[in-house]
Amino acid sequence: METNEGAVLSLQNFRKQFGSGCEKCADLDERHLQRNYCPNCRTTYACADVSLELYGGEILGVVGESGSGKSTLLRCLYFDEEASSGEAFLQGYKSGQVNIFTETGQQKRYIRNYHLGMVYQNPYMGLRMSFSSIGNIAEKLIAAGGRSVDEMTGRATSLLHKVDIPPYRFLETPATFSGGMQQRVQIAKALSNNPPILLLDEITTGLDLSVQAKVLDLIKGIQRELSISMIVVSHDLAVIRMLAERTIVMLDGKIVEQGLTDQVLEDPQHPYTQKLVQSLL
Amino acid sequence: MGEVLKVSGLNKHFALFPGPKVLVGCQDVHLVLGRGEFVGITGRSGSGKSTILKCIYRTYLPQSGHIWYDSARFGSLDLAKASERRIAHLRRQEIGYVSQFLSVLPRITARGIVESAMLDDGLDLPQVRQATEKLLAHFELDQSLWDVFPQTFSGGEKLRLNIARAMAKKPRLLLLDEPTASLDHESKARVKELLVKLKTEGTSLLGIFHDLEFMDGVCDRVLAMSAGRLTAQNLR
Repeated sequence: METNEGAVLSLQNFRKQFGSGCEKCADLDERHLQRNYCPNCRTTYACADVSLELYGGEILGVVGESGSGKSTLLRCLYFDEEASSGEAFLQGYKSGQVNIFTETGQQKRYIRNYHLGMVYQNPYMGLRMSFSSIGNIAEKLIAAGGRSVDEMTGRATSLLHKVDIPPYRFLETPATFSGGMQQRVQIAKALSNNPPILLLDEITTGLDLSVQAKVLDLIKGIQRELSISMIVVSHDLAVIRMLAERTIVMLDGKIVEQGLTDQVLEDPQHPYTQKLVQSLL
Repeated sequence: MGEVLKVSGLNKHFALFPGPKVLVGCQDVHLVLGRGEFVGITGRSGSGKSTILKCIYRTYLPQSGHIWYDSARFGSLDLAKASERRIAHLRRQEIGYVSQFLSVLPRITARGIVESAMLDDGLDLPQVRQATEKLLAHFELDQSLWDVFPQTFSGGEKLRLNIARAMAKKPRLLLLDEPTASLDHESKARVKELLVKLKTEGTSLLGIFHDLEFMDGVCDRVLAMSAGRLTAQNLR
C-alpha cells in the first residue's frame, strides 16, 4: 500500500546534547569524545546528526544499546525534551512546511495533542496513576478539544475494550493494575486522539511473554486497521523483527545502519550491528 | 520482453568483523527468468543458492551486479539498488518468499495469518474469508487447526501454512527456498499442484529444491550451483 507518497515525518540533522559543551568538543570534526561524552565539560551528545523519514502506515524500528540515544530521540519528537538543533516536519501540520522544533510552546502542545501519541516504557510517565482509566483517556481527549462527556466516555470505553481491559475495572485507577494492563491503558490513551503518528518506547520490556504477545498483536492490529505510522524503540530484536518493516540501528547517538528489517538482521553491514545480531539468543 | 527477472554479474560476499574475514556467498551469477516460467536451482548446501534468492528479495545487499525486475507498478527496476520503500511495496504486492521456516507473530490463528496476507493485498473481508478457507482446505490443513495458533502445529503443517500464506497473494514473482524439504509425499503433491496452478495464472517462480523428482514435474529449467557459481544451465 504505497498510498501515502512522501514522509509523514521527516527529521533532519537532529541533535540533542545535555550540557553546554566547551571549546574542546564544539568542533564536530575535531572533537574527541569518549563515545558520546566529553570528559572535559561533561556534556553528553545524546543524539548527533540523526536524520530519518517515517512513511504513512509503516512501522519503523529503532534498535541500539542502552544510552545510544533511542529514547532521547522519541522524547524530543514528543517535546518532552527540547531539541538542540535540527529540523522536523510533519506532513499533517502546516503542510509539512514548518520546523516543529522551533514552534511556540502553545503550538507544540497542539501538535502533541492532535498529531502524536506516545507510549512510555514506564507507565508512570504516561498515565496519571490516581485518575481512573477512563479519566486518563478523557484527559487526552479534553486536551485535544473534547467537551462532550458522553462522547468522551464512549470513546474511552471503546478504546479500553479494544485493548482488553475488563469493563468492571474501567473506573479503577491504573495504580491498581498489573504492568501489562497499565501498558495497555497507556496505548489506549495514546490512541484516543487518533494520532497519525505513534511513538512507542520499549513498550514490551519487562512484560511477561503472554502479555507481550498480546501487546504486539494489539499494535499490529492497530497499524492495519487505522494505518497509523509508528516509531518503535526496542532493544528486543525479536520484537523489531515482528513489527518493523524498516529498522534503524543507533550507536553513541548516531545512526550507524538502516535498512529493511530482515536485511539489517540477516546481512548487517556495520560491525556494531553484527555484534548485536550475533548476541541474539 | 517476456522477462520478469534478469540477474547479471551478481556478487555477494559477507565481511565479518573484526578482521579481514570474508565469506563468499555467490559470484558472477547470471540468470534470466521469463514470465510464467518456473526455474529450479539445485546444488549442495552452502553453494550459494539461498544467497541468490535473498539478494533478489533484498534480505542481502549485493556488492555488485544488477537484478532487473519487471514490476507491474514501477516498470523495470534494479532490485539491488531500488529504494527500501519500493522494495517494501514490492514485497507486499508482487514478490513472495517462502522459506522452510514459518515466522509469524505469536497468538494469531492459522486463519488469521492467511487472511492478513490477503488483506494486505487490498481484498475485502468476505472475499478473504472464503478464499482463506479454500486455500487451507486445499492444503488439507485439518479444519480443527484453522482457529489454532500455529505454534502447536507439526513441522509439515507449519510448512503448508507458510506456503498457503505466500500463495494467498498470488504474487507476480515467487521465490521458494526449499519449501518442500520436510514434507511427506502427499503434501508435496499438493504443493506441486498449487505451484502449477500459480504458474498457469501467470506467476513466475524461482525455487531451490533438493528433490530432483519434484522439479521434474514442474520446472521448465533447472540450474546447478556449486561454490557460489552457477555451473550448469538447463539440466533437464
